[in-house]
Amino acid sequence: MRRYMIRRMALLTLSALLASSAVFFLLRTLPGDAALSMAGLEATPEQIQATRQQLGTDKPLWIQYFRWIGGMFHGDFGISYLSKLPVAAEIGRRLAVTLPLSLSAFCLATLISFPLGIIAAVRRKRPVGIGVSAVSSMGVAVPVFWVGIILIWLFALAVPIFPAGGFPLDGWADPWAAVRSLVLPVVTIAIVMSSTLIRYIRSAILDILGQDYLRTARSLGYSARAARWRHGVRNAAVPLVAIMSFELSTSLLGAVVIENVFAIPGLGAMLLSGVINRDLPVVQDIVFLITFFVLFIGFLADIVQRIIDPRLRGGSIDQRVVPDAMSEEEPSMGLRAESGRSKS
Amino acid sequence: MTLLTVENMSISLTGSGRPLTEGISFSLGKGDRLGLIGESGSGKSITALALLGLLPGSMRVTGRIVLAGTEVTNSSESELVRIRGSKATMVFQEPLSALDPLMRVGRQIAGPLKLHRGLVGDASQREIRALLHRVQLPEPGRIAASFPHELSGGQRQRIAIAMALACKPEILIADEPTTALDVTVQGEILSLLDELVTEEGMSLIFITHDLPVISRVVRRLLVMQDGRIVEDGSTAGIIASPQHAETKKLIEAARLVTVVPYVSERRGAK
Amino acid sequence: MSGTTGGRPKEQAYESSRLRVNSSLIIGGALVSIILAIALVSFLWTPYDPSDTGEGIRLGAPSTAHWTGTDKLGRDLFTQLMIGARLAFVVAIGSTAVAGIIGITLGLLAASAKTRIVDESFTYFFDVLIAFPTILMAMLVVTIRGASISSAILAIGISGSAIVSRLCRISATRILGTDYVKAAIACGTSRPAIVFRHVLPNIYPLLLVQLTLVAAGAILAEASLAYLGLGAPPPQASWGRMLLEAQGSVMRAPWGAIVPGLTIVTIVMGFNFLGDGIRELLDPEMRKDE
Repeated sequence: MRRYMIRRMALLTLSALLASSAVFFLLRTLPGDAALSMAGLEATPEQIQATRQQLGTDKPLWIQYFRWIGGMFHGDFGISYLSKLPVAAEIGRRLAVTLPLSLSAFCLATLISFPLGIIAAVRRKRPVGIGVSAVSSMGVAVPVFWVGIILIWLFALAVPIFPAGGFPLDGWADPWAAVRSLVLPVVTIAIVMSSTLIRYIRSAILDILGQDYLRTARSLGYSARAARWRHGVRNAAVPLVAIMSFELSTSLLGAVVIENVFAIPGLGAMLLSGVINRDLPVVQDIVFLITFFVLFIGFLADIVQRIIDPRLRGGSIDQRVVPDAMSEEEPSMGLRAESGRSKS
Repeated sequence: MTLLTVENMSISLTGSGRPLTEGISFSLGKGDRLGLIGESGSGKSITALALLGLLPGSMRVTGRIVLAGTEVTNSSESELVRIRGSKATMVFQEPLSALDPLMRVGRQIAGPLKLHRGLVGDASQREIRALLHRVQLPEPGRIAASFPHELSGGQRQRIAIAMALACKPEILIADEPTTALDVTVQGEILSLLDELVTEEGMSLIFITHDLPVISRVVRRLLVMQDGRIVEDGSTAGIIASPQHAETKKLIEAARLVTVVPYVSERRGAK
Repeated sequence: MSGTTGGRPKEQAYESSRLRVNSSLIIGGALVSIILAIALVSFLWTPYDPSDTGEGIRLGAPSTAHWTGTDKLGRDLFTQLMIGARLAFVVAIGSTAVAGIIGITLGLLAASAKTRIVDESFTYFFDVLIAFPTILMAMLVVTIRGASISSAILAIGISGSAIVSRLCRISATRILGTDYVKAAIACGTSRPAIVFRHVLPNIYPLLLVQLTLVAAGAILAEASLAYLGLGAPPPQASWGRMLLEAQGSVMRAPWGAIVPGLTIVTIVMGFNFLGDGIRELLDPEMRKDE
């Protein structure tokens, strides 16, 4: 297990380096000199040169790359071309909105999906189970931003319970106002996420319910319920860890889109304005941070799965147990982090 | 004393007319050993599951099954839970899938010990060691701490047998317990079952498609074909003078095995 | 009855019921065909000119003149919907092609790699690629190339290729490990011949299902990108931007948001059903639990 941890950490580092260099060098294929536009039209050549030095763009690309990576370890994420302010501080402010948004969406989706997923599996031949399955397979075809628009129409305009968008300017100073403005975005993400999650949970549980060891336990005198508690929960946990890790990533990506529906000043809104203004440091920092988050969640999921399932410990390094339904790309939001695939 | 009576039992898939088994009748007394033999698809495994009321919900049973005084066919699940294990239990064909892959085998044996005999703590640990010893597994300490995938097929089947023994059942139903094993291991498991059944004074229902295997452990045979019992008699009698074509076929197959000097196919171990 | 106790052989039911048309296939085919027909008709005929502001009825309700109403400039929404369908199909087909070509090539290369290191490096590469979901890939591509149809196709296609290549690698590795392929290699059959004669014919059903799902995802992704302003720039009509424009007037003209949204749901469900249907057609065992 320790050996696996070390190998898996090395892999995480390698993947992070690969991802960061891809982001960095792809963005450098853009023509143009940021220092020229930043220094302004009337700048003297000396001023432009000074701006280049300040940005570090006078150095060779690979030195710029390592400065960027090295800087991130010290919390130095570079300077925005547009606002000329440090990107790190701004990301910090934005995360104070995005993290609560995506984490509560994740929690709400989990709370909705577990009971419904279990019902869909256990009562799969009854109307209620079929109904849950049908609704959830419709749900994966719904664009997340459209759900947002419909919820704004229903619960912000037609019946004005919640604000149609925006976030208090003073952030969390008035917690109640902040929470109120996050309710609809959270529900939007949770609704769409639940559709996918219910399908995965249903499939994972159906898989477990058909296992021979449950029948063995019953033949030894355990009731079906006791057998499920004794053997089912732990075995179901293995694929569920994978599912939950993907959904955690998805909730962050959902937030990126939904912030723009509800005009919430989070990381997603910052990224979008960075893209539109070609603010390279902002784009490269945020894209890399989210990518690293996705990779890191995958890393944690792999470790947790191996703590639960001893069979995986000797296997290939990227092996991840996922339920069958996950082998296909789920188009949920069209934006989800994709599943690792391979069964033991 | 009759422990198990099966009268005119038929099993069918709900919603489909064709029965999977039809008109099965037999009885089993204390210490009896009964063999159920037939090709795959003949209905012998679902018959075994029906005895414990373990058929999947998609199958329906008619007729009577009386196990240790309890009417299995129309008992509630909670009544069945009370007799499973203590009255009768099962050893299945695939020891790998029959064991929980994520639980150390010691704990898996501890389960029925607690359930049926109230053993916990040190008493349970001692009994687990004793059981592992009885199923002739070396180093009980190491084995008890192992996960199923760390053991060989034969060792896993011994664990499954130990779990069954932990219930102290009156009837042991062994459903093709040696089919998934290597030929040499098959013999060991058969001898082990033979010994344990005698020592414990259990009754045995042994299910297989393999006549040479079954003739080593049971005295009475039921031959099944397409869900019906086509021949019923003493093992020796049936082998000496088979009446039904299906029985003759099984004997023929068994002769081939004894004639052909070597088995070319290795059993595909998982 | 070994089926109830042992492992269940998955291939058994394959022969008996293959090529039986199933309901998923019919529903999916019907939904996709309807929208495809609308997209094709739009090349020949649309109720109005897309930029025609007509009599200037702004945010008009659905009527016989304007089946799904008008937008805030008085343009016919059904016309925009029809032209948006074209874009949806162009992006779906384009990005599925990109995902297919990149994914299958990389997957086959990884599977037929002779050394473990090459194979594993491919696997790591796919892992990193998978960590770039469509939305991030699109942000990168649009920053570099600007918002356009081709940027959208490229971004959606590249991020879709990750899962295709992974699936392709796994299934191709399985086929390459079978005895008859080993025999073919032993007989001196060349590598490309093995791939085209043995591997591709065996894995195409899986890939086909996967690519159908990529197409469904592509339509959702295109709509999201257009909504965010990262898709095809105006005046190209797009469902995503129709929704963006309808959002501001959703109180006065809810149909403007409802109709394009339902259209997206319809086509995405259509592709999903089609994927299920193809899978069922080629491997009926996979749906035995349904």
